[in-house]
This record gives sequence, C-alpha cells and structure tokens, in this order.
Amino acid sequence: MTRRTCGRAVAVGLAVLLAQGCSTVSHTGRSGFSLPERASSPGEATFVSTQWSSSSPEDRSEDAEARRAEVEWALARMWEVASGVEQVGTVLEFTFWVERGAFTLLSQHRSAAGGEKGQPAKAESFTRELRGLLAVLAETRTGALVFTLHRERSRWRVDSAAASREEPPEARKHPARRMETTAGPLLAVQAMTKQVVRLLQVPAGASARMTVELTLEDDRLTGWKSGPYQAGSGGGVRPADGWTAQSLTLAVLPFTRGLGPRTVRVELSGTHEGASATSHWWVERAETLRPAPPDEAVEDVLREYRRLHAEIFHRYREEMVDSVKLAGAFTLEQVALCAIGGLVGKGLHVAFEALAPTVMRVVTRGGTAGMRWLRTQLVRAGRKDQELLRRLFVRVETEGFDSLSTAERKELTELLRRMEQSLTVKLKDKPKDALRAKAQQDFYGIFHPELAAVLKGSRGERYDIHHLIPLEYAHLFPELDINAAANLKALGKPVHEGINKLWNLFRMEVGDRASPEQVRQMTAITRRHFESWFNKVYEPSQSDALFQRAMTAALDDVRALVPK
Amino acid sequence: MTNDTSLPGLDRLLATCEKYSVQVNTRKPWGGASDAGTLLLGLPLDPMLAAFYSRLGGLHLDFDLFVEPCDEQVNGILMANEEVQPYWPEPFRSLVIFGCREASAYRYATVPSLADAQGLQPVVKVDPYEDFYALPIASNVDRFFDTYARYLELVYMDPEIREERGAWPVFPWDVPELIATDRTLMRMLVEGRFDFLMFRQGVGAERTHEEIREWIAQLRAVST
Repeated sequence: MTRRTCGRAVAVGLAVLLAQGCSTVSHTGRSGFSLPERASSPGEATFVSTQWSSSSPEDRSEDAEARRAEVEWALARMWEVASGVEQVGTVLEFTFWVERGAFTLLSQHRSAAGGEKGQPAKAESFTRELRGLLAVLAETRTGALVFTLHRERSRWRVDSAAASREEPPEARKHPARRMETTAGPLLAVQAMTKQVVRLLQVPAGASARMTVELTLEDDRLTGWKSGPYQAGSGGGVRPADGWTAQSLTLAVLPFTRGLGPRTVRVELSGTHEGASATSHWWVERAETLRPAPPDEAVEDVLREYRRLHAEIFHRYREEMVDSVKLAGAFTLEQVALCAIGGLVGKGLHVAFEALAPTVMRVVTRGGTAGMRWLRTQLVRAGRKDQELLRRLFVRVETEGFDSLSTAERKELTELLRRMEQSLTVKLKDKPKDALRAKAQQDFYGIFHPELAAVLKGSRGERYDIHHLIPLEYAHLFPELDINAAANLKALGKPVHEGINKLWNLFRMEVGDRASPEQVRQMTAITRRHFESWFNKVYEPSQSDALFQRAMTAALDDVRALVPK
Repeated sequence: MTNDTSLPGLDRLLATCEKYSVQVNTRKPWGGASDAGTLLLGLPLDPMLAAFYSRLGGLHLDFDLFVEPCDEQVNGILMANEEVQPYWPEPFRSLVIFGCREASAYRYATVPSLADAQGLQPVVKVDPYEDFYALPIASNVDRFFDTYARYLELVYMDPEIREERGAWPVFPWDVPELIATDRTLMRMLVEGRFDFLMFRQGVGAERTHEEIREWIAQLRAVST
C-alpha cells in the first residue's frame, strides 16, 4: 500500500468511526465538585455527582492542549511497540477507551508471524497518518476504539474500528497534559520487570510461554504474581535477552494510566534459536481484567463514585491540587460516596462487617439510598467525625487504602464503631437540630425546589419541614434514612403544630416504651388525617374547619392507640 | 429608650450579610409600628424590638433567620404569637415570639418576665418539638443580632462549611464561645434565672437536662 492509499484507509476509518455512534462531548471543562441544580427525579434521584458546565476560554484552551497531549501519548505508546517489530505480517492490535479526549488502554495483542524481516519503518509516517484521526476522535468520541496495525515490508498499515462495549470502570475521564509516567509507578514497574525477567527462560531450540498478573489501583502497581509457565523440550535453558525488560516495561506502563482497582494480565512468549546464549521474549497479549460486576443495588452508586474518583484523582495527580484542599471541597454526599466506593467498591467492607454490621449492610444493599443514609449519619455524627472521614477518604482516593497508617485505620475503625453504636441510641437535641436544618435545605433545595416559592405562609415564611417518622424515634429504625425525601413533608404552621400536639400526646402516654409498630401506627394516623395538607398550600379560610375536624378525629385515634 | 435607639448588633448583621453575599430580604419600616411596652397579647413589646421595627419592617435570611414582618400589610409578630397559643404550654405562652429559623418550629422569643430595669428582655431559642424548653441566647435583642452576625461570620468565612448545611455549627449548641461573651446573659444564667425555661419536666427531660448542663458547662468554661 502506498502512502496515498494508507491515507485513504485512515480517512475511511475515520468516517466509519464517526458513523458508529460517536457521541458528542458537550462538556469542555469542569466546575468543581458540585451538585447538579436539580435531581432528575425528585427525592430519589442520584444527586451526588461531579458537575460539568461550560468553562472559561482558558479552561477550554487547557483542555484542547490536554487532548492533544493524549493523542501524542496514544501515538507514542503504539509506536513504542511497533517500532521494535520487523517481521512482515505481524499484526498488533490496540484497544483504547476514549472519553472526553482521554485515552485509556484496555488491551494490546500481538499475533504471531513468521514472515521475512522487513525494512525499518519510519515513525514520522506512522504518526503523521494516525494523528489526524486520533485528534478528531479525541474531540468527538466516547467509546472503545480498536487500532489494528499490519506490518508491511517498509511500513505499518493501520485499520481502525469502533468496538461495542460497556464503559470499563478503569476508564479515565479527564485528558491529561502529562505524557510521561510519574516516578513512583515507573520505579514500581521497573522493579517488577527486573524480577519477572529473571524467571523467563527458554530451553535451547524451543519456545516457552509465561503469564504474569499485575494488580493495579489507579496508577499504582500494588502487586504481581507469575502464572503458568510452559516450555517445549529442548536443551539447556537460556535466560531472557537484554531487550525483554524494556519490552515488558513498555507494554505495562500504559496500563498504569487507568483508574480504580484492576488486574492486568500479561502473556509473554519466548523463543530460542541457533547458538544464542539468550532467549528472545515479547509480550503477546496484555489486557485489563476487571473485578466481577458489583451487586446491581450498588451499581448506581459505584458509577457515581467512579466519576467522582476520576475527577479527584485527576485534580490530585494532573493538576497537583493538595489533598487538604481537595478534602475541603468535599460535600457530605461526596464523603459518603467515597466511603462507600472506597469500601464496597474495593471489597473492603467485608473487613468491617463484624464491627459495624448495620452500617455495612445498609451501604452495600441500598445503592443511592444507602449513600444518603450514610450522609444522614454523618450529619448526625457532627463536624468532628465529618472532618475525620473527609481526611481519611481523600487519602484513600489519592493514595489508596493501603496508604492509611495504623493510627488512621484505627481512627476509621473507631468512627465506624461509634456510628454503629449510635444507631440504636436516642438522638440528642443538638444533632436533631442539625438534621432538621439539613432536611429543610434538602427538601426545598433538592427534593422539591418547585415548592420553595409556593409553600409560603402569609408572612412570607416557608412552610415547616416535618419528619413523618419523628427524629425522636429514629433509633427504632436504624436502617431508615430519617432525612429521606419520603420521610419529609412541608406543612403550614397550623398543621405542623397540630401534628406535633398529637405526637406529644402519644409520647406522654407511651414515654420511652414506644415500639416501632406503635410509631408506624402513629405515622399512619397523621398521614390518614392530614395528608391532604402534605406539601400543599394551607388556606385558612378553606381549611381551618376541616383541619379542626381532622384534629378531633386524629386525637381520638391516638387515644385509641395508647389508652391510658 | 426610644424607637430610634441605635442597634449596632443589627448593623453588624446587615454588614455581615453584605460582606458574604448572604441573601437577605428586609421590609420597609412602618410608621405605625408599635412602641416599646405596647402590650401584645398582654405582654410588653421589648424596647429594642420596637427599635428594630422602627428601622425595618422585617428581616429574612434565606432558610435561616426569619424576623417576623410588621408593617401596614401584616402584623407578623402578633400572628406568630397567636398561632402558638392553642398548642404551647406555660411558661412558653408568656414569651414574645419575634422570629424563627425558617421552615422549622424553632422560635426566637423575648422573655418579658426577665426584663431588666430598662425593660430590656433577654432572647431565647424555643425548641417546641418534644419536651418544650428554651435556651438563652442573648441578654437583649440587639445583642442577639450581634451574636447571630458573629455566628454567620464563623459559617461564611470558612468555604468548607459555608456550602454544606449539614456541616454548619448548630446554633447555639456549637458556639458557646459566642454566647458566653454576653456577660449579662452569663450572669443571669449562673443565677438560675433561665432555669424555668431550660429544665422542664417531660418524657425525655433527663436526657435534655443533661445535654443542657453540658452546654452550660461549656459556656462557663469559655467565659472564664
């Protein structure tokens, strides 16, 4: 194929890719860790999220620069592998996930070839022809892309195609200007490579294969183990040659540009020919193996968590934002999300199940509701514990759970223990006040923003927010999010005072002996008699008489429930 | 004391709101606003509250402090007090409610029975949710505005707290250092003059009493 036809192949590839469901990336910048203005569905919609909005020209320019750097990075990674291959007929396949201009390598594969040795291929022609395609894709596409490189006599021919697949959890979502690998991960990969190469041997005149599994979290190599080793029969064993370490390093390093916990499996092939004192090894396949899909109930939370983690890690690693500053930007929802993502998403919750069974049960089964439940517990716990959890989980987000010191792990353990123990203890008045303030903000700000301008009394004051199951009895329902949308109602002052009077009558009779069932029945009474005023305008001229009748009937019901 | 009494605490509150861009709505004062001592359901209107209404017809911080409006359209202070009469027990019915935390049942009220020689009444925050009780906040209405201004400064000067309502210090529980600077209030507190509002009988009285006593201990610790 001539350069001209190759150029046409790239152009055709571009057209095909763009037609294969490319999605337009509408966001070009970041507005920080912020809540969307409104949940898509009042009350129960996921509302912890990183929010993307239109950005300043400076941000857009920086983003464009980062996307260009991502293209150069992807080109360089492919060329690093391709440049060492001379045998005509060799096929290299790279699969990337591209999102918002960020490239994440998912797999690379080299197919065996027994062709003749070709002439050296030139980097310039390889990169020049691919650069344009990648740049357009970085601007426009979200999804998996497969680049297949065919070694010809003096050049590489490139085919490209979109692949249909789910978004992988390790996908990066923010383009980075940085091209090189940071020192820590680079040193860890080099140390691993050195040890692996020592294991690679081929019997003289034979071939061999070995698999290595690497465990990674974000850009950190956290461990590795060698897998099955197979070798044909031959003479005395020959150690790997000097190129092997470089080949393995170059294959592994691109996989450090990913997010979250994962395993990368590397399959190495080696051969020995002639009288050489060493064997020649190359990476035949390298791919990311993902953890088993999480329980469906927590999938929505983990998806949100991954989005948040992607932004936190990007800010920390690429924008060099100090972790203390990052912690300061966390809302309680985000702290709760990180705690769930950091524990459940990495399977660490099992270690805390004995210590905090209720906490772990709710956060693992409750999805978004579980996250909100945890947030409510944090409001209850107060600022000191909020700060502690914020500090610990910023560390987990940026440096991994293993980076927590023994003292910090103890702090986390104690916090979870405190939280577990508090669940069945009556709330004090101070946390009740904090929970009411948060409930009022959530009700009008998130759950029902449309009511903020409607439900106002004659003096201009917004209606009171009432807890259907009162905070006084929250300890009887430890797995209930007492501040959940379903438990909050806006009431005009007369209705609120009236319902409070009913509850006071109940508590005077029952005292501290109220059972969960009695509280449910009381809640049913208030709902039965006053539901027509829940989240509705109370018009005194139309409602006063009705309300008095409702009060009389409700008082009778309460007296029947708790006879003297 | 006249209705044009200076109110430095209120000035500070308004300046704080402006400094931190806190959304604040005020009403125009009304020429017919009640004078100090005017009886409201048989209780005397606090002189400083009267001075407040000679300057403003009401004050409203979004989802926060709500001072009842009083102008030619609405007598909020009368309505607020009438509203609770059927439901509140004594001695809380004998307080003069002048505001609340918006969207809640917490009320701010003056205490006519504790007025000083000049007729100035201290301010309490009433918690009517379960066992009724009230916490002392300030020795007079303007001091209340001053303390609340300092509280808002504490909240808004820290960007980590400002945006997160669930992280706000709870007023007045979490700010004993602000409350305790009011020497007159502290003296009254130590003398036990607020006990009839704080230590009530009730189903959960012991728990509440314990929590209040802990808070008072904090107040005393920071005031020495």
